[in-house]
Amino acid sequence: MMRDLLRAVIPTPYIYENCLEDGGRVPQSNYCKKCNPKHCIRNTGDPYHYECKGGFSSFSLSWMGKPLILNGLISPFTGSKFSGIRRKQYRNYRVSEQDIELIKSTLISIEKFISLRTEENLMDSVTFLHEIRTSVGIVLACCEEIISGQSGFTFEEKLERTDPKTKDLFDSIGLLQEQLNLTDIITNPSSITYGKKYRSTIHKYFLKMVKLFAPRAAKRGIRIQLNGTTYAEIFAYNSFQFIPLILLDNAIKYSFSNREIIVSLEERADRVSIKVSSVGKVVPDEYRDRIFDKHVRAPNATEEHPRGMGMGLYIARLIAGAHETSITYRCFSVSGGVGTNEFSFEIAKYVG
Amino acid sequence: MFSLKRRSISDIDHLIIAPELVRKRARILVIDDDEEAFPYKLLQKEGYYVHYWPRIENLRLLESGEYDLIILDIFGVAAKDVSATDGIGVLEHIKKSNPGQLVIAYSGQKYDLSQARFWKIADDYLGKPSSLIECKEKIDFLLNKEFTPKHYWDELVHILQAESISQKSIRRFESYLVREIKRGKAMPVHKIERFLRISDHIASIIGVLIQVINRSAGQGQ
Repeated sequence: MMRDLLRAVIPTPYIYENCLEDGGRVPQSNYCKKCNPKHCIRNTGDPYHYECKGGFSSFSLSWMGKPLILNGLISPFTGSKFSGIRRKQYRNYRVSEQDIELIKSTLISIEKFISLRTEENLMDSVTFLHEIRTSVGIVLACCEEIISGQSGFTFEEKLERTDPKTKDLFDSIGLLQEQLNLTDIITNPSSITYGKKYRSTIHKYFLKMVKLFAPRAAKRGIRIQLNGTTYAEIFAYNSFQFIPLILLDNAIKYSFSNREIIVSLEERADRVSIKVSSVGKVVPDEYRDRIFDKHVRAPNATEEHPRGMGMGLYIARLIAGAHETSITYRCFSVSGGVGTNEFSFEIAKYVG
Repeated sequence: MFSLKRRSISDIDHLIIAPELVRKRARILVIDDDEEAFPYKLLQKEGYYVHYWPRIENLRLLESGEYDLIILDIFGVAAKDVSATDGIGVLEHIKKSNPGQLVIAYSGQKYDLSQARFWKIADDYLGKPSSLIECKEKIDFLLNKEFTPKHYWDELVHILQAESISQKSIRRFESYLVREIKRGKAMPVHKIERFLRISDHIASIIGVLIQVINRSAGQGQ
């Protein structure tokens, strides 16, 4: 669908996601089809215009955050390599500076429109989620009422004495509640820094999520192991809890069944290092730099779960940024596209 | 004998209530049109001193620092004659008339960009729904950190500086205030007005803050 849209908008040949595409009016020339080095692909962004060895002009634009190159053209910038006969042969490939500007501005307008519609759709979904939130609130209140009927002085004591099934129910509602809260950040990323920063141990954040996810992981025979004994404190916004939520959610989604997810927490001088690793299909090389971008889903993710917004890691990156850190991905022991996926980051310890 | 020793607000640190007593002493008010949304009944069972209003019942009480912590919903809490912008208007009004008032914004509308101000003016927030454990954690944290004479004194200094009161006068007032707190004496608005030579409006805001300073120092109810 995206190809059809681009072809309808771009009359000239172009290259998108490394594929040569025919334009709506002019197809790819035989010269470009046969060209092996395709240096024009590597010329993205700056400089805007590039002339290849064959004397053809290419112009670097962008579409949905990825480079789009109008290639194989004859433009006012094209040098002297085109003799009169050649110019005639390729007359359909002739473009003016205004033509390029028009294509560029049309792409920008469509991009803005798509982005606006996406936001609107997202807003509709989130408004609908608000109704669900109310229902979750009722279920949570009922569950807390049951727990508060146990013996004990405080609610925490009562929770400890509650039967495992009710505890599982309470944890599952907690997970649902956190997942709903995460949707707020998707629509309003500035809510990452709402509220005060709190001192809390990194262990507590992960332990909470490990507990919440344990029933879901167990259904696929996955065990979550929390390693490391650091009780170092960090100073973080409420939103920080979504980093463990997103990383564990992803790890469970894309891990093979009956495997282990390992969360390791390690203290290093004035920082705490966190790693979440799981075994499954790894992210292909060409996607490794982009998996933290908005709406980007690598093929290993789409194969396992065709539906998804590609927002989790993007949000995790934003939250990490608000806490002056960044999350990195690496994979190791890879064989046949399968290996250990590891997401890691470091965060400063709280010093009073 | 005349004592020339300059007293400071840190002199009454020893009077601060122990954290376990704060939750019992601090007056908490929950304002939410949905009675079941916030677990205030369970909080009462846990020993917190919590009141519940389905909507703004008495704006005066909110202006006068009657409650140490207000948990405020964003929608359906204020009639049009109280606030045209519902919860946001109420929050702005409270913060204007009593800058030291602790308020936790409580709503499920964090996604709504048009309501961003609500979350920013409040001292903290709780998403809707929140579990009892989360509510307790947030309330305890905020009360233990901010329900202190120092927090309210800082707010008071801020107001006085904005009124161009000299540093020397502020220090003199601090010393006088600490003496009165130690003596367990209340400070009437006209005294504040005369001492600092400020308008009766500002004096009444200062009066509210002094009342809360007293309460956070465990002096009076």
